[in-house]
Amino acid sequence: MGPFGATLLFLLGYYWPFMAVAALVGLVTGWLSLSRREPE
Amino acid sequence: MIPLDHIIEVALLVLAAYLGGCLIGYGAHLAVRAYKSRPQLAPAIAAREEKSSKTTKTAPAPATRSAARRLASAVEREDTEPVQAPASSQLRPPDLPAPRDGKADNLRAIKGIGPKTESALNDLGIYHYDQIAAWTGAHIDWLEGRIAVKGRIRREQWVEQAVLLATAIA
Repeated sequence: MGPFGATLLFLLGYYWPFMAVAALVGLVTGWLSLSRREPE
Repeated sequence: MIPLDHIIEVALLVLAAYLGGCLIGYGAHLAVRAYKSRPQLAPAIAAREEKSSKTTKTAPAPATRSAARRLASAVEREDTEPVQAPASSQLRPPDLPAPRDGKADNLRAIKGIGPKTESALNDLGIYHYDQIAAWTGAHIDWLEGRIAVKGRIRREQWVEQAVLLATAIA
């Protein structure tokens, strides 16, 4: 694993809560994007 | 907080997590919707038939019940067909030149059909619940290109609703 991988692991280990929140927001957005009522 | 020399990398990772979440959420919703709209009406029809046969024992029910059975078996036949039929198997549903007895059924009683769709169906010669109840997969494919958003007729279970309404008024 090169320096890029090590940096990525460090960032993931340190800032994972930000990514978890972003993933959660994305999950809700993706779910709701299908819930929009289709035009009659 | 986040140091400036990491901010771009973190922003990219957060963006990737967000996009991944969007995809997973969309896919999960699609899966849940497909699971909810799976065919599951046969027991309801059987229960309804049993109930009507108990309450109308003295009435001249045989003809009515056989019509209901025909409708139920039509739906069951459709259940066994693949959900996505190929485009070449599209078929125009049988139409009527005018409503029977000059009176059309209230198609808006089917959840998902509004005034606009009802008028479009009438224009295609579809006026009665039993006409909708007899639709097959090929008919639905033909109609979805013309009067409804793709997948909507199956998702909102127009045929199954029409079977119930047709058996209710039969």
